[in-house]
Amino acid sequence: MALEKQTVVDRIEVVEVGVVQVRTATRIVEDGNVISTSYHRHTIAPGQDYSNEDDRVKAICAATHTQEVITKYQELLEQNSLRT
Amino acid sequence: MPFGSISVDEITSSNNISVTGNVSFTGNVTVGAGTVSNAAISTTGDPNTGIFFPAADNIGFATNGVIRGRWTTDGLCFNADTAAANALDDYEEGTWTPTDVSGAGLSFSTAVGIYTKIGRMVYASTQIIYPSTANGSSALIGGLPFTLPSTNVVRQGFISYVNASVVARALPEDGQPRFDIRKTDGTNVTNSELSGKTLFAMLIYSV
Repeated sequence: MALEKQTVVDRIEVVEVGVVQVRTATRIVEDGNVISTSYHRHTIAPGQDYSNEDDRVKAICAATHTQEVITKYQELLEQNSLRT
Repeated sequence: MPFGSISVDEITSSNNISVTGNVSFTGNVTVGAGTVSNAAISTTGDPNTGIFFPAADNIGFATNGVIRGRWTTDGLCFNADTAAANALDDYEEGTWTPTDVSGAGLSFSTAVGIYTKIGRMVYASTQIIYPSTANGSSALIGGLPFTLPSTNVVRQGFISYVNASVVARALPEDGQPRFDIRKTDGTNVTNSELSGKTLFAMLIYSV
């Protein structure tokens, strides 16, 4: 009976405003069968540093977070800051 | 005449076949579509409770001759409803980590969060303990597990406990995976007002 803990990025989503949503799955595998899975999520906003992310996440961020997307996201932040 | 075991390549019969005992197949089993009152798969003596196939790409579940739900390509529809908008298409639970995104570069001494997503509704809760700080920027907390749409009327939050001297509520922000904290007059709570304080917040929003 061999138990193994696997941590993988199993879902990468890009939403309307350019934020990249990343789901990390932690799996406990026994003799090749997954006996437990838990999820952790984090997000990467346009303009946010992604240098420490998984390689596939880096690739998605590099393709998505263009200067135009970053600028529009910053404009959205400024609009929200004016709201009460 | 009982058989201990038989092995055949194919059985074709225009009549019913009755088997006493267990049946196992290594290949697929194909059955008729059935109806809500005569399920394709049911238990002996109770044909109006079971599984049937009301349409292509649909799996229906009936009890007492009434459809209680079905799986469609849109998700799980309850009762006789087939509307895509009403289909439950996702359920997920997990953890998230709240972070300071106010620009002050604060490190929370405690920062934990859990979430449950049911359909398009997200329920995210968190416990945060602020460090000692005199920073006067508006408190802003990021890391929400799902980003809000850019226009979202379903975004609410409340603080179940904060040992600060302000009465405040949490407000998820449009188009962003973050929330701020507002006083009852709508103004923002600052980092310094939360210095050393414990915050429990619950955010509810749609995606």
